[in-house]
Amino acid sequence: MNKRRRGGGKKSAPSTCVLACRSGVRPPSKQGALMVILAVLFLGLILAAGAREPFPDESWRVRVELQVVRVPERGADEWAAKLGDEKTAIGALAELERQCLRGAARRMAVLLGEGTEGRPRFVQQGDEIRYPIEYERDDSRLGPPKGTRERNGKPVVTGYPATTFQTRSVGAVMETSARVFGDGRVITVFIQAGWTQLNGFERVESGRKMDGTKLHVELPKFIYRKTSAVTTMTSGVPMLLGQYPVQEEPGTVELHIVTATARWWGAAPAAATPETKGEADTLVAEPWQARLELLRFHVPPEEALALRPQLQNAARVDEATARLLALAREKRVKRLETITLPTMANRRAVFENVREVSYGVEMETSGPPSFFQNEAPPLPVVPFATEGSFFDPPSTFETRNTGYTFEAEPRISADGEWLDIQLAGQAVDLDGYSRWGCQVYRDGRAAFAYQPHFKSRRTSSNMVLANGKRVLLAFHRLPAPAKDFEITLLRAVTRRVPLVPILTPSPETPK
Amino acid sequence: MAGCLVAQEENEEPRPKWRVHVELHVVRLGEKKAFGLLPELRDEKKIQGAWEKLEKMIAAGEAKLEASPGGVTEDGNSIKVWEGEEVKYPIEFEMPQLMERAESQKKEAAVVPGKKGGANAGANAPVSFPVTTFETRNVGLEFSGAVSASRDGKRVEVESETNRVWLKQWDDFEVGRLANNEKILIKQPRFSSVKSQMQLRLESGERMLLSVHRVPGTKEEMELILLRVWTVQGGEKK
Repeated sequence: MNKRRRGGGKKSAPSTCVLACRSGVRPPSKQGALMVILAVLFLGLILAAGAREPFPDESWRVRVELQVVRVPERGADEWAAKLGDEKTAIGALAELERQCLRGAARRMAVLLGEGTEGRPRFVQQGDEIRYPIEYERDDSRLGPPKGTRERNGKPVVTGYPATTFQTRSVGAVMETSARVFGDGRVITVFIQAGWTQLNGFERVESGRKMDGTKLHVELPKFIYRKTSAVTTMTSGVPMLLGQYPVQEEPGTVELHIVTATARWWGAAPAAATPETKGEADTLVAEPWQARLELLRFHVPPEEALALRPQLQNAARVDEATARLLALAREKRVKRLETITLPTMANRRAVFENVREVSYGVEMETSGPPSFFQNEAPPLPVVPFATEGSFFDPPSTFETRNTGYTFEAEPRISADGEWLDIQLAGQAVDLDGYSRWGCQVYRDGRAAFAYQPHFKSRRTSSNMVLANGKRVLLAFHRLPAPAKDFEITLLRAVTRRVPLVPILTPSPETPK
Repeated sequence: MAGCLVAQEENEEPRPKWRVHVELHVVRLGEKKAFGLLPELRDEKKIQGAWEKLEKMIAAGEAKLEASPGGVTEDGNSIKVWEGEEVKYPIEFEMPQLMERAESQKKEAAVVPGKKGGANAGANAPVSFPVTTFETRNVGLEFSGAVSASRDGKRVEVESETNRVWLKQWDDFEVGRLANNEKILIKQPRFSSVKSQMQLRLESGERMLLSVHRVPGTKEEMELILLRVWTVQGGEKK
């Protein structure tokens, strides 16, 4: 076996002190000794920086492939069921690929994360959206700042040049690392995969021209769907990582499908599991896997209240769920989310289907602050009320995630029959905006700042569930004026991984 | 200190030096053809056959070789190859100002204030909106990799970073108004990119599919990026 090191080799250089003593030079003083120690440390650092890692003789190569595919909502459940079952997943993905070629489904992205076991890899495809976030303020109330901007007493140009830009990547992204066990059939994968999309720009009122024309800045609106999980997979068998309703394209569901494939790389045949270094060392295979299935509905009050006792009854919850699904097909109930979240025992998995809302939280004004809400009693006209133009964009923005997020960490009993799940789910909706007047001009017009209103429902819980059983996780009434109820159902299924015992590294394996 | 380094190099076990060649191929072709070849391109035993098919498609005009950068470096070193163009775009601006010019002053004198001008007074006056700072972005294909070969030169490890960048479009952002409410706009570029950072381990001469992605701005055009790495005996033995 080769044990070659890069560059410097394995032998360490003799220290300067030893060299000095050998050559008969008087031992240095205390101060001198300190200098020598520092010099040796410095030399050591230089050598360490230049040292090469031993060339790897053998290892597993792992390709993690993420496919982002959009399918019609009507057939999504069927795809999810097939891709969720190891026996049918390979055939289902092949069929889905054929559907993509026929145009019945759309392949949004294919990300190939090729690499070595234990090493993180990062792959991204998409656009980079660049947008201004800070502007120079233009305020002619303070006097014409640049002399030549006015003509005949009138401002001719109102400018607010952007001073700072931000860039956001949209499209598909995947960060992953993998650990291979035994003969390469079982791979533990940490994966964080998502899809981000620009969903237009929000105009934020930021000033007025002298003639009353409103001035705006534009803030981008992003939507993202992301899952992060640690899961054990069978090499070459696809797994459904995420299933998202596409908010910007109703009637469409986006499937995130991941496939990990391990291949041996080395002079010797794949006889042993080599020592693994790097981030994936933290990835330890567990014999039990969990698949968490979450259903969310918006249900009219009469249906919700009628079904509630059945949903709370463990013996009848499946029957009530089937009724809800039937009502959803008849469009009498709105099915919001169908989440399939794979995770390993004792590992946290996170699902996010988010629409970002950005809004200004700090505003700069040139005059005294004077806030009043909506059309409420106007304050006395501010004396500085302007005849000039001004531009006061918010100086600080905040972004709130609306949509649904769910995270869970299951513990699984030794026989796989019980799951103890620590979980948290949160739904946030943008309810609208309230206007806050911030200035009144001499002509009586007002300038407003807008602040968003959010509605949220949260559930944090710890549940012990039997394998394959469903439970009513949350029952919320939506805030007025909506009358519907929000019903969230959880089901957990365990799966035993055919884990091959980890072989003892062969004596030749370099340490 | 120098003496120590020399002593260390002298003690190092002599070994043959390998040169590592790196070659990339960026091939553009229709979606159906690209996904049709994907199963073969994923399979290390079939990828050479798939490449030969691609070569035939290129020769027949059914696919296009967009880029094919390559280079060579010594074992244990890094290589960086890039081909493309540089796109400059403004990132900082000065406040818009009227340009006081004799011609515009004459035109302005003809306008009777309060009668014809009003809000549009000076609307036609030239306005300067100078750019003070530019930024440059490389678009095209960039590959960088730290390569390391096995003692027998049969295997290669590459710490790779690949960037494929396109200029997709220019986006307008309002940054001011003229008196007649005409918008002053700045343009900012929207780049599309495909990026990856991976540690690859290959057999010398092996091909590997690094990426399959849609060409921005097209519906059915795909691009494949293929990497090939091989070693040759080079340098001088110590």
